[in-house]
Amino acid sequence: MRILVVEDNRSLLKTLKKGLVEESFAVDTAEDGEEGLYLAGINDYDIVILDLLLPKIDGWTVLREMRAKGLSTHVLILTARDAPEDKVRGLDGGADDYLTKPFRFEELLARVRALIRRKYQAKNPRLAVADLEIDTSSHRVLRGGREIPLQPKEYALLEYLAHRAGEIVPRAAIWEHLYDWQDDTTSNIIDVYISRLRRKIDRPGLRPLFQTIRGEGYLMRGD
Amino acid sequence: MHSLRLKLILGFLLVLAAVIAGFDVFVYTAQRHALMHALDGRLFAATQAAARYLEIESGQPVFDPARENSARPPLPRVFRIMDEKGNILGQSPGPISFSWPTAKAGDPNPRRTTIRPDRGVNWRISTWTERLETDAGNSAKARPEGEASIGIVVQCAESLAFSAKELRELSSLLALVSLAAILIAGGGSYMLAGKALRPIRRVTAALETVSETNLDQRLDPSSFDVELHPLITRLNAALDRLEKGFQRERQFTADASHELRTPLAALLSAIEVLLRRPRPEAELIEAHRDNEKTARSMQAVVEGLLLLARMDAGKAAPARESVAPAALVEDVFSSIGIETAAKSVRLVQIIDPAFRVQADPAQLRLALLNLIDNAVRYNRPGGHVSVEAGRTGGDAVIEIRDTGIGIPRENQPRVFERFYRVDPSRAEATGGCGLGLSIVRKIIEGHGGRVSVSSGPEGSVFTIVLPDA
Repeated sequence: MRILVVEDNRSLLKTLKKGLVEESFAVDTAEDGEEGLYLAGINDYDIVILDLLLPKIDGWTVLREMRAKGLSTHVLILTARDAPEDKVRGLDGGADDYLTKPFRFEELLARVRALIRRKYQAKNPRLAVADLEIDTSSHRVLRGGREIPLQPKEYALLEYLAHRAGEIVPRAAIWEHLYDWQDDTTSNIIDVYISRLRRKIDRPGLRPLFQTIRGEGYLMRGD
Repeated sequence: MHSLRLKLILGFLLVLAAVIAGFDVFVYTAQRHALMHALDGRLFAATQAAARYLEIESGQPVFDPARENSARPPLPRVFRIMDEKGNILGQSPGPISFSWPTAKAGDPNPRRTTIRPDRGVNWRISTWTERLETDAGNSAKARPEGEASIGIVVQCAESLAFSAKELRELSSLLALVSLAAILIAGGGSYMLAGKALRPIRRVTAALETVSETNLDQRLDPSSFDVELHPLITRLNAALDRLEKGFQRERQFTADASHELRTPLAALLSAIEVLLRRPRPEAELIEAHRDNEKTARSMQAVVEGLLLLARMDAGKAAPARESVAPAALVEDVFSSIGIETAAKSVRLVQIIDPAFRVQADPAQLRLALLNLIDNAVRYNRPGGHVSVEAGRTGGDAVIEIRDTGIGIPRENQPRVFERFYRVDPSRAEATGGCGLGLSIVRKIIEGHGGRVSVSSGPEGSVFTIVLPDA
């Protein structure tokens, strides 16, 4: 899952990036509204975390412009402005959630996860594909009741494919949701991670869950 | 109680009562005068009539009661007739409750006296002297003195009981009418005062609809009487000031909470993220450095706010000492030397070491520190900051000149506002808590002075003017 954080306080921005990356998110950052709006327009983010008081263009304007451009990215406003009228203005301006500073990082993570569930229309935080279970809050993965340890990127890939189970997901889309723009990897890296997931999850004797659709992408299906 | 309505009514009634009382006194006096005048006329006529009660018999006047009886006036009136020597020639029958005043023939006519005995009613007495012919006819007749005549004195008295009763009745009538008039006028003035004060209640009611939440409401002067327009205008002006004050206060609170919450959020989430998993020591040290920087920036905001609050509360009255600006500037230069070296900004001061101003040394140093620090912070690399001081008229003037980025004209008046930043996007990069210039202004104004800025593309000049107190 890929997140854009627009925040002008550098130290907070650094912390948010670090904390979210450690939770297997791909994170892009912007220090002002202009950069934030530009990045939101060119990348398919799952979530934008947006401060309101920003240099150059304020957060309300960024939000309005995003919605005017038809972007349906989920937006979480993260701001020191805690007045009810600010919350109303933010949510009515097209935001999906509103969190005031100072905040608990745990709560921010839970809200981010909730917004991701909403995006992929999953009500249950435990995703299931056949006998594979994915706990999106603890990042634990079980197959047939047996826990499968995964690296962060492996988990991120699995969760993304599980959210889109039953669909053919192009390699480029996977890559875009797993890596921020500063990463100098190419989409070939996806093949490497798919083979690692196959090794860990589709063990001999079990029904394979991952399929490669040549020239199109990957498909994860449980039926 | 300070009631306008009560004052209006009481004032009005007081004036009215004075007018009515004056009128009453006038009517009473006029009536009394008229009654006495009529009484005196009657008595005068009676004395002359009484002289006719005498007959001249063999040259001597003789009282004829028959004549007296036929002409007896119906009023409670008594009389006596005396000759020149004071012998009583005749008098009305019956006792009298007063003593006659003495009288002699030849007194100027007529003489009137009021007798006020200790007991009983008062009497009005008219005394009449006359000479009677003694030679011819059987009826007394006046004739000039020196002829065959004798002098007589006639005194007539009438009780004042009747006129006193009439005056008493008049008084009660006047009192009754006056009281009724005052009562009616009182009721009327109560209503009129209420009507006159109604606009005040309307203004009050209109003001009640304006509260903290809708301070932008104003009273419409056209819906009030023209006499109230100045009041409405002043009230609206007061509301304008109040609204601006509230806005400034709200803005300040919002800014202060933003300036504190943002670094606080950064600090707390940094710690929380750090604690989520074990970290190598190098990472921990770097995180501590970051956190320290964040905490320091919070410290700057908190200390700035506390200083401003103390100065706002008037708890930082400046001391007045003879201070040498040259020494203060030198001190400031040495304390920010490292920063300036890093930016390669040159610091210059052109101040006569003997030049002295009257100021609080610690406060003036802080003001100079903030201004010089800003001048360095917003300077271009390789630029310079120069400080000059001198006297213009009676005022001490200190100028801090930089070769920095300058301040756009439209932002210049606002740079002294709390948390105001010319370019918010540079806030993070240049540091500073956003309170430095407001602290400078507060300090200089506390000294009775002024601070101003002028700025162009070649840099900014901040000017401190301190009056020679």
